[in-house]
Amino acid sequence: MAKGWKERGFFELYQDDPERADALVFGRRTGASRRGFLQGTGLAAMGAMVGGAIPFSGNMPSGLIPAAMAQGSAAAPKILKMDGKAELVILGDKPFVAETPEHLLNDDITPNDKIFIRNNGTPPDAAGNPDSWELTVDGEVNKALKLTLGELKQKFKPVTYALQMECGGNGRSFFEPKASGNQWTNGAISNARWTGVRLKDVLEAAGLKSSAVYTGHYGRDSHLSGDPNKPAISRGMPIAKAMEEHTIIAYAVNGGPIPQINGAPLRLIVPGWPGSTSQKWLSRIWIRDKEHDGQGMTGTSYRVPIKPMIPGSKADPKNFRILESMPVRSIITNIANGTELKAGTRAIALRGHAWAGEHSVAEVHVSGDYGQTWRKAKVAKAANKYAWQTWNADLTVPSEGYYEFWVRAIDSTGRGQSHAAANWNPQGYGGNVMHRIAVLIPA
Amino acid sequence: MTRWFAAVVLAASLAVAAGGAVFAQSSSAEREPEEPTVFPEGENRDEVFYVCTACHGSDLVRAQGHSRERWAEVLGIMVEKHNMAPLEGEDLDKTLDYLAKAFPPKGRGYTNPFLNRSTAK
Repeated sequence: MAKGWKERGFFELYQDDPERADALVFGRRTGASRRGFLQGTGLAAMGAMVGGAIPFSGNMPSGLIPAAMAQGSAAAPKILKMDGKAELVILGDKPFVAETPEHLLNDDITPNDKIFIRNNGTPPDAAGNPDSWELTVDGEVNKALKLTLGELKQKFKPVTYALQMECGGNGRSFFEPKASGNQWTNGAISNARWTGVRLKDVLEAAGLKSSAVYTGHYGRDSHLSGDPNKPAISRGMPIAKAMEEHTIIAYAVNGGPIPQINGAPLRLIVPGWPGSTSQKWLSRIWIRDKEHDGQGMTGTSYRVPIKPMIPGSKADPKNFRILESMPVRSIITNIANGTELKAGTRAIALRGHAWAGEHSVAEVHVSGDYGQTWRKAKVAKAANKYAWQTWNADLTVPSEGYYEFWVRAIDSTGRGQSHAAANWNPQGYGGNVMHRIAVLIPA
Repeated sequence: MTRWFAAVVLAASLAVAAGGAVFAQSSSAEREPEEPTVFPEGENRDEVFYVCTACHGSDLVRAQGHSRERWAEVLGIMVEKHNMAPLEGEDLDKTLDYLAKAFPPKGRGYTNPFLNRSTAK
């Protein structure tokens, strides 16, 4: 396929044979990848259909309507307008990705409408009959299982936990120079109450062979290229993580169905680890006899440098390890960045959440003077392991004017948050700079 | 419109179709059109736009800012992991020239929320 391309170059190719060039340039496979869209539609009609613009929401699932409030400027955030979702900030529409601004994360338990949206590919259509959704568990097991969601619910004990679910790239936008990927601030995090069955119980029912070392996850979303043989994402975890009691196959959230865009009717929740391990629209768990090598497992994806590299330099994939536990992070949630407080305000009650991947949060500090002085916050206990913790702190300011409030957390191993994103890597994982908000106090 | 440009537009439309799913409709007034003009002006802008948006939205490109070398790495990942057909020779150069000029390394992530306000008043 690439051959003709190399020989002739695409500019020339298009002049000579546009149809063939299409196949070459876009790596297009005939038939399946077009999903019959072109059947009965002539090429001329297709050209007419295109006219000027390609639809903005090209890859949005039906029924979901995002719209930008602000137009034309790359700097102004695009705000999501979608049934069942709050006003999240759209980072991209294809794949569809939207971040929950920190100030919308004030609830101790994140409601469904505020669970951020991260897709790697094109979501599947909603399941007509969720209970007939099938999950396969195969590979290094004594007995491969094929279970419907209905059977899963019947055969295994349900558990419910408040669990952090955070995108591996959360905090990416603070890397300098810029890292590749969605430019998350700190809002790729949720702490909802998930209900499901323990993955451990299902794996025990299948019977793990002694050769089982890693899981490989598959879902029913499709790769953006349209290639039906290429998973949108397929990550995994070591068996030890799969056997943890908080690692669950979830079929409900906050007491009701999972939103379609968040992986209904069945998904993994692998708390404290990059969200990409928490496969959405889960259809298969392949037990591997080696580290999984699916889409998103290799190269520098979801990996961080072992030895620190020069920021912006070329990465050597051999110097990378898989990002497992997410780093400690804290956010201020009761005051939005850019808030004008009441005139005369001097005492400010700050509130927010903090979490630390597999660890717990030991301390949270706030500062009203860019980190010159810090005050200790009161940190509540987690509802259960892997739930985030709520903190409260009081600050006073000496005058009116422009202030920034900063927050930092320190985890149970003594690691905290930095002023600048540490351990630069080309795809921007593991950054956990302090959250800062600006407020104005009028005279 | 040159013949090959028309072909690129057509190919891009097929790519969108290949993405599957029914497209949500909302009023065009609310939507920024997904077309080459959302990219900064520059030589080969349209070609690069369609090469990128064959698979993913232009937002993803516009959010990045890289040196030419790092853009080359990004294209490498697209080829290796995401089915983009490899670009070679002059095509690769043209693409990288445009990306490096249009989307150079960006400044720091934090922006003062009151900055624009004071100029607006």
